[in-house]
Amino acid sequence: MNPDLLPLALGINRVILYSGYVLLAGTFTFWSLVWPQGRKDRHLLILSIAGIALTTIATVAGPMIDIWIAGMTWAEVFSPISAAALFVRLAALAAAAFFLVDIVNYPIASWRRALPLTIVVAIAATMVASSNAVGGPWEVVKLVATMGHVIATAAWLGGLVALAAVLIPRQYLAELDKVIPRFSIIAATSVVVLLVTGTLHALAIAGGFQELVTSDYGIVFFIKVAIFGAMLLMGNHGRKYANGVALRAAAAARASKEAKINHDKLTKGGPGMHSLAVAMGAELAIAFGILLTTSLLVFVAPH
Amino acid sequence: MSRPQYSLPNLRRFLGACVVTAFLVTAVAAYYGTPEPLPASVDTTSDAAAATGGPADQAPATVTIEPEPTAAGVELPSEGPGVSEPGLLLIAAPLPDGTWDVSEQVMLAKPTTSLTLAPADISRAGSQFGFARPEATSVQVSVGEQPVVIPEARVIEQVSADIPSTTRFEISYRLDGATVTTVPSTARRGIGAIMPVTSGLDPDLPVVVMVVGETVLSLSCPELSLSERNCGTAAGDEAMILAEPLPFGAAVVAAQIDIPRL
Repeated sequence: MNPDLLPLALGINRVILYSGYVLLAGTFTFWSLVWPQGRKDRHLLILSIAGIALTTIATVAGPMIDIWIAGMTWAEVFSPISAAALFVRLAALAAAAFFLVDIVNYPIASWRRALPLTIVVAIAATMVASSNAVGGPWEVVKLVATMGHVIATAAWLGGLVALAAVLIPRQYLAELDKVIPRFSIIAATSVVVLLVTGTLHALAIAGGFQELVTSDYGIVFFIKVAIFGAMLLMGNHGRKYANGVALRAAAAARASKEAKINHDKLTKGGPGMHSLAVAMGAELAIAFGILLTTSLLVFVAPH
Repeated sequence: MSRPQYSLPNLRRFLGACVVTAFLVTAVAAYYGTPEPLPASVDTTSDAAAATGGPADQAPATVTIEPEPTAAGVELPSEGPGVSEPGLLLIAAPLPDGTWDVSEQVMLAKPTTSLTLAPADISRAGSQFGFARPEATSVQVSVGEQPVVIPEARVIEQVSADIPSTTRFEISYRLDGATVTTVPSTARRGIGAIMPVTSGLDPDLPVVVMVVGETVLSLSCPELSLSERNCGTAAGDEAMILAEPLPFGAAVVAAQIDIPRL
């Protein structure tokens, strides 16, 4: 294999890992904190299974690329912490795969939230342990910031994907007036956490504000911030729209004696839902842009 | 009639518990079985194939992790390009902050009265350097015993200077922005792109690159054919040198290193 393709292979693998993590952790978080009743929704189940599969593939493929293609040894690829993190992540993924049926068979409330949330936190911790937050100055700040960042990403991006999976088929619009306010709280909290932890992490990695604004790492970081800002605007628009649609649907369904006919009109047709789908699609596309710039940040991070 | 204890869900849960436990036990074993990243020295008994940048079907770099690095044993070239015959000898040493301490000794076949320096296009060393903008600072140029002033003592764009007629000159500088970390990898593992800042020389002029330091792991020449890319060989216990000189037009070397600790 052409050695120049090695960074490309690792970059693609990293995007797969982030995507899988967002799908898996996002869906589990969505079930646990936003919509426990959606545990048997087919689309969410597919998202969680896809997340497990993608995360597993990327977790295994990363070291294989280094060992088989780059010719590195185990000791060169792993530190003790990152080696342990690899197997802890595989354990968490195995738990997710083998116990997914149990997770969705019972209401994900009260103590039953423990398993899915523990799996999310465990996978997030392994990603932090394998990141550049380990070692160097400001290690504690970097570790805490990265952990908060990774979990908030799952809650927000993953929740957004889950929300889109629920919204677009238009099967549960009547429940959206409950789901969207809950998700909005999670999303708003996540955005604040992402802003604070992202800034702290970038400053810690770059070594200060001056170093951040004058480095390639800083340039990519600010591109990511710009994309993040665009996503915030898009997300705000989309959620306002979703909220309005949900409220109108619920009100109409309650008020009309021909509830079914009106509900069908409101939920299965009309330009409103189309616009909403476009807005959420754009938001998700921007989210993918964030994942790409995040994987790029790893390459240009200063040592 | 009660359900049997060995029902399919129970079997799934049992298997799941076994697999999760096995991975957790392996995690503990991996933690204690994986060596801490330590400064590594190149095993001088091997050909030290490049670990990064080398083709997959070639032997990987043989790296001996030693708790206590051996004493310095660098053998600087006493002859060859840049020293006893026309060419350029570049000697680079990685520093703890990820920069490089570099010197270039140039010997030309014909006298010259001008000198051109330019930042190296290290994107030629690999796509991971696509965003890198190397900068040479603390630049000192000497022709014999006579110093040559370089504006601000830095090279961030092409710089030309008039020099006394000579066939020999020497440049030393600090190279910044030419190291990227390898991710995922052990802590402090990185790749440095080494190229001369001396510019405008004969593309066929032979160039020898030597990388000094106990944490140098391998040298790779990305502009050579696949079978020739593992281009480094040991020079003493704590240095690597090109096995064959490169032509100036293809003098690009990627050095895999563990960035030295303070």
